[in-house]
Amino acid sequence: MDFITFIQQLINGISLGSMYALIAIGYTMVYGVLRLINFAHADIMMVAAFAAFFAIDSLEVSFVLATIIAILVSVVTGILTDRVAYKPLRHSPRISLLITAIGVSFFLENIVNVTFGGTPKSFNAPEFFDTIIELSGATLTPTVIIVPVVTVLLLSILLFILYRTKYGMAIRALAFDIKTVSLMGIDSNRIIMIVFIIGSALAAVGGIFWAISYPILTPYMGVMIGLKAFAAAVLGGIGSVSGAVLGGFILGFTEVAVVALYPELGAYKDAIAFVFLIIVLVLKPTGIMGINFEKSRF
Amino acid sequence: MAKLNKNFIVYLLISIAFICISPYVFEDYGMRILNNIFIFIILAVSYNLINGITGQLSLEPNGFVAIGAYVTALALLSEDMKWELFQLEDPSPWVLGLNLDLIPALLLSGVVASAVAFVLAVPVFRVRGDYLAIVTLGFGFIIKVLAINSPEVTNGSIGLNEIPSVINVYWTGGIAIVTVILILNVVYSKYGRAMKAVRDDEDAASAIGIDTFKIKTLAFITSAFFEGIGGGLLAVLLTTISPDLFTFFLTFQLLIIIVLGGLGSMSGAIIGTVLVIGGSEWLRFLDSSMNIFGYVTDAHPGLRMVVFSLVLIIVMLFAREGIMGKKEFSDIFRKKK
Amino acid sequence: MKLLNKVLTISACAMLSASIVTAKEVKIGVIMPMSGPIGGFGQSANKGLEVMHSMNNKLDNGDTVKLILIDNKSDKIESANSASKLISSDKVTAIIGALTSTNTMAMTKIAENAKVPVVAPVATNILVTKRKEYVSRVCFSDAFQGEVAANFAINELKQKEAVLITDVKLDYSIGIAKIFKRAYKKLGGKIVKNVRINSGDTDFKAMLSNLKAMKPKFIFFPVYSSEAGLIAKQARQLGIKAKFLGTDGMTADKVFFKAGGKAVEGFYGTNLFSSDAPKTTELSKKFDDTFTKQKNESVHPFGVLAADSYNIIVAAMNKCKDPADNVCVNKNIRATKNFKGASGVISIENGDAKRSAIINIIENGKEKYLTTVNP
Repeated sequence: MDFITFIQQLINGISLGSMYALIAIGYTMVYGVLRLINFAHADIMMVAAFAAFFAIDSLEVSFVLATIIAILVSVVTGILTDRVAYKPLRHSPRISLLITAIGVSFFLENIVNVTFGGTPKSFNAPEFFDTIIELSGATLTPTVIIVPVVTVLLLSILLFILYRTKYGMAIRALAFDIKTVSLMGIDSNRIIMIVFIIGSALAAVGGIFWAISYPILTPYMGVMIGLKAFAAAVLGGIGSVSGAVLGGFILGFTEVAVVALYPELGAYKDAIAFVFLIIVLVLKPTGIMGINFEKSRF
Repeated sequence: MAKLNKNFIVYLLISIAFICISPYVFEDYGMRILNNIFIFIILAVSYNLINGITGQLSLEPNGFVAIGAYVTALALLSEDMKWELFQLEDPSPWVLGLNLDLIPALLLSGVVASAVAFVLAVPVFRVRGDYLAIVTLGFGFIIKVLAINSPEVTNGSIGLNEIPSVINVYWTGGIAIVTVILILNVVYSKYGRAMKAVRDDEDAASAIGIDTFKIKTLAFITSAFFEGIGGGLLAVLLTTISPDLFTFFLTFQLLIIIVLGGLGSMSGAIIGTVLVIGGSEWLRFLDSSMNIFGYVTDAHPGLRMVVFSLVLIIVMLFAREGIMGKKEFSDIFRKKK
Repeated sequence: MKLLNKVLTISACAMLSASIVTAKEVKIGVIMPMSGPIGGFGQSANKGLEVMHSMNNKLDNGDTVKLILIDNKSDKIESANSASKLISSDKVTAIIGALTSTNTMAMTKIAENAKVPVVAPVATNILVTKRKEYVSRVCFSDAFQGEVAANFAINELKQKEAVLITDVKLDYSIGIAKIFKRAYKKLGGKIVKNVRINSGDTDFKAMLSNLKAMKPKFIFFPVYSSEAGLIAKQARQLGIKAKFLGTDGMTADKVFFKAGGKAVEGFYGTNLFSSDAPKTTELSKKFDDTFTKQKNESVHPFGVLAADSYNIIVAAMNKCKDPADNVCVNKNIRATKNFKGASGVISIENGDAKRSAIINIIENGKEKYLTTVNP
């Protein structure tokens, strides 16, 4: 592979990886605090993308306003999901919680299917995102630069919140030992709500970026993305926010690399995430950042 | 051995009588649903073994059903048919050579599925809880990807068609009864008690000397065996299979069935199957335009699925034990030992 | 007692008059994916069906034609169950469905056993009609389309080297690709690269970057609209300059144009039907107008084909003494010759449709008619 193509593939990997990263953060935070794999997380991303689509297409608002609407909608959805479906089961066996999460996921997918119809919808991002920039043979679009930058920015803000604010400390404490912390007078439900707000907002941003890069939306688009983002979170170390981002980038790069170097394996691309997942869970469940929940924090 | 008490024999006789009478009572459509129900009973009851009885949330049944379906389909198709059907690549030689009758084919399906389960048990049971769910989900997915990308074996996305339709309700009903009896045998044996112990508290079970890995693997393999057989029957009922049949949605359906019926109850699984499969036919009206007190609504296809997801959520929130909880029919009528 | 007598008499009269006044009703079952992954295609096809039905819902003898729609949720088991229900419970005379070849094949056995004719609007796999007596289709098979594409590529586009992109999850794509390969090679063409994608994939940049290094001149990609649109857009973003040839699946959904945007200008596509082809029949003009008036959008190719499935069944029914006689209706369906449908002129031979293919080029975000290829 010549140098130009290599650079091109590198850019492709960064672009893909950062989107996985954005969504993986939400998974990892909810898992850290609730020990729940929120199957519905990726569907919240899908809901955000559809909300933005609806805002742009039917309400005809500006792109910025549509993004804000999308973030609001996903945050509300996230809070509702927690309040209605997860909170009543706080003290139930984990299996019930997991099954409920699957139920919520299906519910969101099908509600969107009924409301918007099953035809794929095309997302009208502003022309700006489509401009082509030539960089000595390699071509990129503004999205490829914006997404990783925004991801890293959001990650920094999140780490700041987690390690330098009172709420962040509460979140980390909850991740450590939820029962004791409630006894200490911290309103755990409120903190959990904040976790869902942050996670859903990040998923919404991820969803908008996804919609810009791959402007075809279907109600079931969240399924594969969610599983891959979760795999990324586990790879990086479930419960660790930086781990989620790291995992996202690694997964993105690997997917691109496999297709680039072994094109015949192109059809197996989706399985890569699962292979990573299984290897990590079997060999080193704590992932790369090695968070061990018995002794850890984010 | 199973407790061959009076109640049990009564149920058995009633079921056999029902199966014999059914062709005269139901027309084609009803028979079709009945066949579906029997096959799903086989799947639900075996899925319940690993999920409800042993407490390991496996999201993998679609993979084993797929394996069973393909093995049976390949075994039942004649060599000539295979040359015709395989459009993508030529079928591999051992596929051509595979030629069995129904019962050996089904048994082979079960064996292959359990062999795969045996191999997967090693990585799968190194983890627990949520992770187990995800790992099994992953394996189920990988099996599907392999099915799509091995055209010499599976004919890829085109799938296998014109499978000879050699079954009727006597087969499906009969095999369903046999499966229920066999699984009940396991549940009421010392292995079954060990499985329930693992479900209730794995560490405690290990502390009293139960080899939890062996028990979990046993449940997994048994579960896979019958799921494979169920898959084989499904292939023959539909006469055509392709990878898109075996998606997570199939697992989801089985999950709803056993949750609704009660995780850990075999009778619950049977009731759940009837409710979900029968219910989803009955609820068809939700997908088309409805006349509610004279107010005509537009057709909203997909409403049926929304209702199902809501049912799952509501059951989990308010009636987590499902209909039967952990009890069986026989337990209602006499004190549980 | 007197009151009871009165009530009984009145109800008896009412029922009697009702049965006289109500003309007979003939039922056609429709199985389409209205939800699930390919729900969009089903919805589009059904719209065409609805419009056609509204234009012509009575037989020559005055009977009304009733459509019974069942959503098969893009699923095989559902397709089989739906067919069973329509045949034994609803007692339909014919079935239109089920869009994809695999779902259609799930119900052919049931229909064959019950001797109920099935007319498939869009199922293109050759196995759908092979060796069947009761299954017909109004679209051409993958075999025909693959050959048309290969011929066009060599003779008109003069491209002797091609990159072939196949969607391995789609039997449609696999079927056409196989025939294309064979026909292309026979005409002296060479496939320089075989690429595999999956439906549902959204990121093709890695694959396309690899292609870019080869500087391809011609790409044939028999894939569906979503993937085609994304591939087109990303190819342009990467600066790939090649001629693209797609098939009817490519333009089947408007999302191809919307998502592809400028990238799809100049693309070629084979198709069954083109809204600005010189209208071959009166009916297609009328249908096109009525559709646009009723639904406020232009008709989708699947919709036109569904409409023609309906038309052929109705025409067959009109030729039968008892329009509910499914064996007679099937005989007439299979004997259709030069039927002037909404999508063109169709003849059915052994269940397969003999019809022309159209080649379009995309100009200004719309398909522009180039030429017709006759069988």
